[in-house]
Amino acid sequence: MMQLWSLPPGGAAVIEAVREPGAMGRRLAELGFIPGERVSCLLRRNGIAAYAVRGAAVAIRRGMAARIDTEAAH
Amino acid sequence: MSAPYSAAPGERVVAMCGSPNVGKSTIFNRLTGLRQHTGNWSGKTVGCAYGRCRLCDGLVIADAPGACSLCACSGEEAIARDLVCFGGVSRVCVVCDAPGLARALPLAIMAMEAHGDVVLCLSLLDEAERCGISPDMERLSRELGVPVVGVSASRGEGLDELMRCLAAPPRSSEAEPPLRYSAEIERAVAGLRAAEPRLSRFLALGLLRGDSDLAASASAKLGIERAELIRLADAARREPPEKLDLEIAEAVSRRAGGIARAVIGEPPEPRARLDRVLTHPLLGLPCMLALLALTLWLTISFANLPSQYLALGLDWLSAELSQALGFLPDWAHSAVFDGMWATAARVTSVMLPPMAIFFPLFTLLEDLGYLPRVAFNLDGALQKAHGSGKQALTMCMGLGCNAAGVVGCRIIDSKRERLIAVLTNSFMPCNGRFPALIAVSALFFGGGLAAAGLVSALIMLGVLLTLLYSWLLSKTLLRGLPSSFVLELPPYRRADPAAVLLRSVLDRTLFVLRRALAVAAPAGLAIWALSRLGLLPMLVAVLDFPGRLIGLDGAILLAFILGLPANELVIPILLMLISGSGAPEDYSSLASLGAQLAAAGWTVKTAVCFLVFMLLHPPCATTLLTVKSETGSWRCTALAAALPLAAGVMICAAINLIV
Repeated sequence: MMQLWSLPPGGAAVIEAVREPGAMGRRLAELGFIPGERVSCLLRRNGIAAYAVRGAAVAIRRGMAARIDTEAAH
Repeated sequence: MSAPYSAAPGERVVAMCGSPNVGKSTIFNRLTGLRQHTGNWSGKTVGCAYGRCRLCDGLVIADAPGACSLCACSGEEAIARDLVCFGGVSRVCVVCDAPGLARALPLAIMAMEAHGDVVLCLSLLDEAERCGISPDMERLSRELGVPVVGVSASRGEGLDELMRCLAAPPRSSEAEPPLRYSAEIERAVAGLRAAEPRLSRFLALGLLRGDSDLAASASAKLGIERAELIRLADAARREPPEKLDLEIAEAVSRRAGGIARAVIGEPPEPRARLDRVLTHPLLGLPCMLALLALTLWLTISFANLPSQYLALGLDWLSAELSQALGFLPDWAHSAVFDGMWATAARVTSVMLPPMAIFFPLFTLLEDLGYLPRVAFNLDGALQKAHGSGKQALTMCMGLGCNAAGVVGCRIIDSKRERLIAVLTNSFMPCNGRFPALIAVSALFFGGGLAAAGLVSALIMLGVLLTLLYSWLLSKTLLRGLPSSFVLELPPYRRADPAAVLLRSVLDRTLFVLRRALAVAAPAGLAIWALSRLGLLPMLVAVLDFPGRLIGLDGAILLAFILGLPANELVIPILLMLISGSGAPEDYSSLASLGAQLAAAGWTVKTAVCFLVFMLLHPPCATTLLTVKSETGSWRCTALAAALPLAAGVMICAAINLIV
């Protein structure tokens, strides 16, 4: 298990759990950040990163990306 | 916010919902013949727009603001939700874009839970084709159990069928729910709906999720005590609302993902090649600055000539009109021409050409999809300032017009961060201030690239102060931690130059011009009256001492004060004060402006202080009134005026002391 934030650009992983409460957790789920979904990292900068999920690019901040647990994609 | 609409007898209202960016406004425009602004990022439509359907009598379409979901995170989503749930609409048309189907379907699922009669419109088929996606629409229709119409609005395909589908007689039986949740949730929903039959499946789910905003709305619209609704939901639920909330959201998303996979297959990965450069840690910022400087340079170098011709034309018109109205008594004639007309004409000739160049360029960047990348680039800095990442977007809007920027702050979800963005918006110089910034820069520091560079530097000063003030506000009045946010980076799109031109000129240029003229004419009259009464020299003398303290003088300070209705008035008023004439002066040629300023004793220091004060002074009256209407508080409005003024006075006084 590793945090989504530690996924380097170009890397892919499968989401295991989203530990984000409230409205933001819901928004993340709607965008496709749900357990079992495959994501890949497109860009990572100082404190913000963009991920490809379900064919779209979505940028989130480090804190939130650290609350998403992933496992290696096969 | 949303204009109330009461349907005439025999009229039926169809609600149209969709996420931002799915081509909803384009479809709405095609169906109704109206012109709604479309844009490549969220936060465009801020109320509901209503339009009568062309070619179909008695059908009214209500265009809801862009919403990704009906579980309101933002004000726009609450408007969309209330329209679907309580707006009395006879049918709901959910627009989903074919390329992003998985992200768009949750809204369709929620709409089906909220309303028995849903039509799904699958849009952007042409774009899907380019990505190699061919959606299986029959499968989609079968999976959801609702009619599906494919549309490619830019090519005009599918619109007739969509219209037929919207106008079809209402469906009699309630559709099968699009999604079955876990046994526990289904039990709770059934229990709650048995206790209060007026609740739709969606409202029942919302109450179980513990959505207090929805409870308030439902209580008001259905006439049930809010406490009663909450009590019923508490009784029906065995698990904590937070747990159900996430479970429901994940179930909806999983179903949406499953359907999308069956209908369009695996979507292609978004390409990040261009973004690797445009958001590069080292190259991203220079690219952004270069684009900014290029935009300003084009504005500066091409606006001068049309400005002069416009001034000449208006002068000619004024002479003709003046003759035609020769029968007026002297004082009235003077009030109209030396007061109202002169000011309005100066504002037009000074403002219109730069705006007509700047706004199309800005709209072009917006349509290409560049602005979310600006937000991405600036996020590191905004995080340190404890602001929202979306504040960068409202700052960009402020660059066009601060009043528009303040309204745009609605896209920021957290109240604290929204207030920060509202209060600091005027640190971005708006279009009303550009002409003065540009003219004075060009006069004292050389034209062309030097002026563009200096104005860019001033904008950077504005950005730095925005960050500084955001940080200060977060540490003092608006304490709090940065909230989470999600920034979508839509694919870059090829912009349609004709559409860009049409929209930027009609929606922005003429809009801002009309507003400026509405204040310029009365302001002109007031100035004319003051000057007739001989009060101006006295006011100049009174203001001279405070003016000198900040490197300016009494005339400049008075020009800023009298220019409060519209910033573009400042220079014309200043020239009038310098020359002592009764009407705001023309400065159609830079040379004449330079000569007049030099005669009034302007030095390079005066020019620098003027530029800084132009950037940092209370925003125009329109912006202040917008702050009042957006925040509902006079204190916030006063703060919005005081913050830039404090910065301006301090910096100018420092320059005055040091140099």
